Amino acid sequence: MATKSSLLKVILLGDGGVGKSSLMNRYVTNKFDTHLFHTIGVEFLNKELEVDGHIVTMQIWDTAGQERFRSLRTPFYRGSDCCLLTFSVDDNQSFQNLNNWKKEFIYYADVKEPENFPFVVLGNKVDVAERQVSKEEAQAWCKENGNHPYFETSAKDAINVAVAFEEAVRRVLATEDRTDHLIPTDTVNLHKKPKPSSSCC
Amino acid sequence: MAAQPSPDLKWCNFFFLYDGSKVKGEGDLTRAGICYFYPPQTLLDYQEVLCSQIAGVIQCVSDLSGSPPRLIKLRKMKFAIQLDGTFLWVLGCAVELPDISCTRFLKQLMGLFRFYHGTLQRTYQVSSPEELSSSWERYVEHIQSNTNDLQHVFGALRTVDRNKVEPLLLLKAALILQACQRCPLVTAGCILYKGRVVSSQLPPDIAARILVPSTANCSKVTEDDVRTEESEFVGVSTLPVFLTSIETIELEQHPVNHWNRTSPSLLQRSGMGRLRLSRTLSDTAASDDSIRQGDQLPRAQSLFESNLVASSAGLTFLEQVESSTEMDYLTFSSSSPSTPHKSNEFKAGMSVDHIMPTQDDEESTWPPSLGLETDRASESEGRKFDSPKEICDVSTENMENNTFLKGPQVTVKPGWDYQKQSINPNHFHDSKDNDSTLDTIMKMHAGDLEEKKLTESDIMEDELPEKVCNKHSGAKEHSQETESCKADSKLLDLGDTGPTVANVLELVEKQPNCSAETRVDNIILVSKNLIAEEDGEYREEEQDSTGCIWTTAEGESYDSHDNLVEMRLYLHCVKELTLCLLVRCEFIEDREAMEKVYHSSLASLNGLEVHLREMTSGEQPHAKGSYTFAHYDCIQDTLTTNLSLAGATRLQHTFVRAAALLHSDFTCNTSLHETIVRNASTAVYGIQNATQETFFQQLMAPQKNSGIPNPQDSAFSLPGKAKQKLLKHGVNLL
Repeated sequence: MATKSSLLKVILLGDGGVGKSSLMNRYVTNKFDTHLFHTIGVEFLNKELEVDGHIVTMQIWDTAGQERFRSLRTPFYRGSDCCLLTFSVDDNQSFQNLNNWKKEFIYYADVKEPENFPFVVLGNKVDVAERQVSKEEAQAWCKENGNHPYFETSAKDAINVAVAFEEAVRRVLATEDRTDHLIPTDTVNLHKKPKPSSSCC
Repeated sequence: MAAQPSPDLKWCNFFFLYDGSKVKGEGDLTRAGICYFYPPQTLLDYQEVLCSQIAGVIQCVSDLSGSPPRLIKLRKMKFAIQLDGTFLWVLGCAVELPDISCTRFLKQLMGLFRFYHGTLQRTYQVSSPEELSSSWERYVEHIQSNTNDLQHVFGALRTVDRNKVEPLLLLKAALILQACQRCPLVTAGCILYKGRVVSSQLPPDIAARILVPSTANCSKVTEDDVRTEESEFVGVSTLPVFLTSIETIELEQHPVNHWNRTSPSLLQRSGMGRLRLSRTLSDTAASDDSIRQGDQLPRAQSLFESNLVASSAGLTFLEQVESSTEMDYLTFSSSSPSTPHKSNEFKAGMSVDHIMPTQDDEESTWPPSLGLETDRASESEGRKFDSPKEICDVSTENMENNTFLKGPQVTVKPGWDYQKQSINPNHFHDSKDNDSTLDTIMKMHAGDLEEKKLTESDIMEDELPEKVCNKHSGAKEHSQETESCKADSKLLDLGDTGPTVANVLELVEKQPNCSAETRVDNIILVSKNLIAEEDGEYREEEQDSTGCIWTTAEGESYDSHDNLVEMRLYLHCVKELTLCLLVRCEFIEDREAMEKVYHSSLASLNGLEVHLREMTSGEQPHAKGSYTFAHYDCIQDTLTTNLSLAGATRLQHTFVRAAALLHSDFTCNTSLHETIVRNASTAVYGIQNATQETFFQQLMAPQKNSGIPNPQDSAFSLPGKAKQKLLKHGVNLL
């Protein structure tokens, strides 16, 4: 048994309707609900997993994609360890907006070194037949914008979802190893994380 | 003014439950009859004195007057009294508290106990008084907790401050509840944050009974057991609760509840796999017609439908109703439009002076109590319900030429709608969204006539309750079906969704165009009047008029007559946030259903919790304004105020006292519309309508010229000021 555990905050960002909530639900509860509400503000679920010998508790934060919920979601960007930029392969606009999402995140999360921050890009809804964004296009964007890993997922058909989240954890662990930032803790204090965000703005 | 109790003082001075059956002979000790006494540290001798004296007074008054007292007022204290079989409940509080508040708190306490334990008699047979004492302690603490002086007066449901919480979060909470209702075993629920209601689908009196398990336990479990989340329901507890069959019906009828609900019977038909909400924000495109129909059929309407089935039964039933002593009803021999209005009200048991000095027909809020009813029946849809007056007006006008139910040609007297709807002669049949309930009745009537082909022999009077039941219980499929049915039929006899009945309006109408099969000659519109009294009282009214189960005044228990319906309360705590759901008993065994509810709500609850925490963390004290106000919503049982809890000034104490005074007056005189009470230093303006009471006080430096009329007297500008200032609090005084 691993002796140390840590809490990683992973945040899902992307346009409304690209499937952020579905990805989270698929990964954590392995369920897919076609009739989800729009997310209002933020939501989160915890998932414990083992990656390369590390036991980590991943706290997946799902956010509202719509512009009108912006003020509700942005205070919770702070303290994120990884950002999953999500778009839908059948919606070119959502792909175009990735840049804005990245900027918004870097601004509100107050990321010190954006070039070193772990982003993962997810192209969701690959189950849909009519694609508007090709794999190559997406990969090219990822390469240009900091060499982010890219995953094509489908929350509906459970394609690549777990792989993508595990990769996110790997990225975080790799970053933290590099910066020697990983603090081993036996207990997890959920209060700790969101606190700083309330004092900002 | 010095007599004002300090805010810290517990307003409940005494509460006790006394079992008279234990003390019968001379030698019996009074203490044997004391089941519970609050405050528990009271000397036993003193307890005995109080219990025996009050029991004696009640006995004496009952013997003399033939009915037991409900309230005993002494110089410094008043005691609210309820009898239940051999049991006697007494709540003693300061004399400053209005009578109705005192009575109401006692009923809340009784309700709490029944909710968690079932009937008193049975509970005290199976459990020891010591065990139950801790429960009582909790309940007494609960109704006293976290309240300020104004709360004592109104006893309103404690809610989060809606001015401080982002409205989107209230929406989020409402959506969480709706999502849970996708499981047909979930009846309704509410969400509490720090013990305050964020969103609720429950009738206020039931929501007020939710006791949140101690937050320490909850959050501990949540944090420690994160890893067992998959296999267990972290932070979830369930416990049995008991509702009277009337409450069950109320629950089913509560507008919020069925507004977005697919009825179980419909679900059954359309298959469980298609369960979902009618108003998800994101799935509007893919809508299923059958479900939609179900969704859009509010309970009020279906009740009316049932009612119509009853009503359409023809002359036989009409005669029965006419001869029935259980209902008041109206006849339309009178010719002038105003006469039926008066007689209607008069017969409904209200005095004639309740009729507003009618200002403008359109603007008249006549009678306030009716409006209350109106909103209950049609709140969520923005429907307008015709007061009997209007029905009367319409009917009497049309009675003579028998055109009332002929269809779109119905002519309506302009101004019939007291809520100032634009008047359309074809209103009954044209309006869609804000059609009146009467419209509904009529539409449904037409539908019924054609579809069901009712004949006089089809539904004889005897069969009615059963028929009606069948109709209604389609939406139940529940083990308690029969009990509910019994109660249903009682209610249906009374009229519609609301709690009281007073009038039966009969509209006798020949329908020449009717097909031969229908042969329904007469239609009775069963309507009702609401006596705008506090809960318990209208219940009694209701029961009295139908001769059914609640006869508390006679010392008989409504419990003992009423079959309680057992349900389960599902509580899911996420730190200080609690999701409470009233679920059917089967839910607990149905692991799949529980999983579904748990997982569909968990992420949102987590999110809502962090949002609320963030929002309330930077809480600032109320900004000092130039005025004080309190706004009480009788329907939702909520109180909005800008009165600060700490450091209330002398003027604010005056405000609380004035509000208490006016609240009592408003409750007793439902026709009272506006009042200003004043003393030398300040004036408080009060206004009530059917659904709300509002109190307003302009704060200013006290006048020094006491006794001499002040040329700049502001008292009479108060109504205008109130209207203007309260708009920004979302209070619209028309």
